[in-house]
Amino acid sequence: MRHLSIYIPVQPEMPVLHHSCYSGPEGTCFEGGVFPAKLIFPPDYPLSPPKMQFTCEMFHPNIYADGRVCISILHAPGDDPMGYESSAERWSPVQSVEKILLSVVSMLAEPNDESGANVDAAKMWRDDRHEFNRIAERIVRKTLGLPPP
Amino acid sequence: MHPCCVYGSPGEPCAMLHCSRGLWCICSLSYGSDVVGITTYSTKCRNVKILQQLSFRLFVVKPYAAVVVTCYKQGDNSLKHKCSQALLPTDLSATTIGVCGAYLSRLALVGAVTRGSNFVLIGVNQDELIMQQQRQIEKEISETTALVGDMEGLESLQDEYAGDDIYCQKVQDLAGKYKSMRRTRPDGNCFYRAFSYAYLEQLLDNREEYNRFRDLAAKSKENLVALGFPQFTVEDFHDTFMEVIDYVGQGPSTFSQMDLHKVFNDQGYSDYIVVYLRLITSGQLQRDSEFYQHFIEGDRSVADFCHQEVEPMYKESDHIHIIALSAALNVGVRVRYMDRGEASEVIAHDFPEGSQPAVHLLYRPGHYDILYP
Repeated sequence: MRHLSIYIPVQPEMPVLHHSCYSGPEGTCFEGGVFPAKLIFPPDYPLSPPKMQFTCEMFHPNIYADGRVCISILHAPGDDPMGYESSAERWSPVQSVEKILLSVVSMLAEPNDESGANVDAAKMWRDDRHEFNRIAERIVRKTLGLPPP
Repeated sequence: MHPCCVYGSPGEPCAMLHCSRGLWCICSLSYGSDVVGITTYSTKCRNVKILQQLSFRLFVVKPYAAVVVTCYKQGDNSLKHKCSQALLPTDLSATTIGVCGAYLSRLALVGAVTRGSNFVLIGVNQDELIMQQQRQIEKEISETTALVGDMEGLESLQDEYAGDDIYCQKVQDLAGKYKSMRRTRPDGNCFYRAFSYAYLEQLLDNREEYNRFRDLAAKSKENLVALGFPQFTVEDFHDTFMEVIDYVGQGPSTFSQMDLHKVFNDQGYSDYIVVYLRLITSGQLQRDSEFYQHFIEGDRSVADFCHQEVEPMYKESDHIHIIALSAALNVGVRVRYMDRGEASEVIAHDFPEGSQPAVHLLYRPGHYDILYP
């Protein structure tokens, strides 16, 4: 069984900004890394989805250069920057934060190279997996405070 | 101008852009403190040819949909742009620079860019711009239209369509059948909002129907949970929904029509009611999916349809939503269709078919308002 860890500090009230940490899924190139991210809740949550942004360096097809995560469940219907409209599950008020967190972990494990939030990463994931893994390893080590291999 | 593909990210000085039929431009981007140099090459048939070497001073004006560009020859710093709110190019995303580059390349190719030309690119990132414009429209609508408006006579419709013969005729027909109307905010939730307002308004002084509905509403949560909806999130909306129903149950001397109107114009309550009705609609569609499957276009499953078209807020409603909600609550709805069709009568559809309508709605393409006989 895969080991999965998401760390969220317990806070009494739903804060506007929520910090969390992800451990890279086992058996993937992000294994071992600890990736800090923040969840930003809009004033009309849960009618609109929160936004998620990694605060560490990331190199991933579905994460923008500034760390913002681009997966379908974080998009309200209508907001469709990457042409998701037809596919996949979108945000609705019954979705939970837990579902987002699981989706993010599964995104780390299985990038969707058809929606290039980071086109370089998507291209490399497709064409040069070896190089992609090398960059991922460097990022993983960086999140742990280790020098590059 | 919209590139098919943009490669490159800040720090990597290359954007490859599909400009037009078969012509690819590579813009090599060189960053200075506030300068982006763009060299345009044509790579048609593998012959790489330098077309233009230009430098642009880019200023991003917040919000970042607009970029002010000043073009000047390399090494010539005499042109200074007076833009106090400028951000430096290092704040630009690869996509923005890419699209910007594509546009500039196109202009350069046709010779439209000359030294000192000053222009504003609007729509540097089309998607962001469209989303932003949509939000602006939504904001304007929410500032000018109440969630549910005051009762008004049908003359206001008449005024709206002055000079439009087809619609005027239909408004006349409608005026013979209905006394007044109540407008709702056109935000994609109008069907649910109009329906619940009109129905609860009637329950204010219909004890028997109220008791039936309260029982059904109270049990609805368990039905949804049994269908696989997450209890934790459904509960939240159900609680608010029941709270409003209980207000209505206090009777008109304690909770008047005015109070109901206030509740429905309180975004918090109003939207939660909409959410819960969306869930009930979704539940009904999924419970009876074999029947509803036939009404869904494409190869989407009923569950997918619900996740994409029913449960998310602001998604508009169609026949199938109305059939499902009216069936789930056992409340008859008559929808009057007012469109550009030839008939002079405003056609009525009853949901469920053959039922006695409790709620009357006026449909104009894309929107529902409440009608009062």
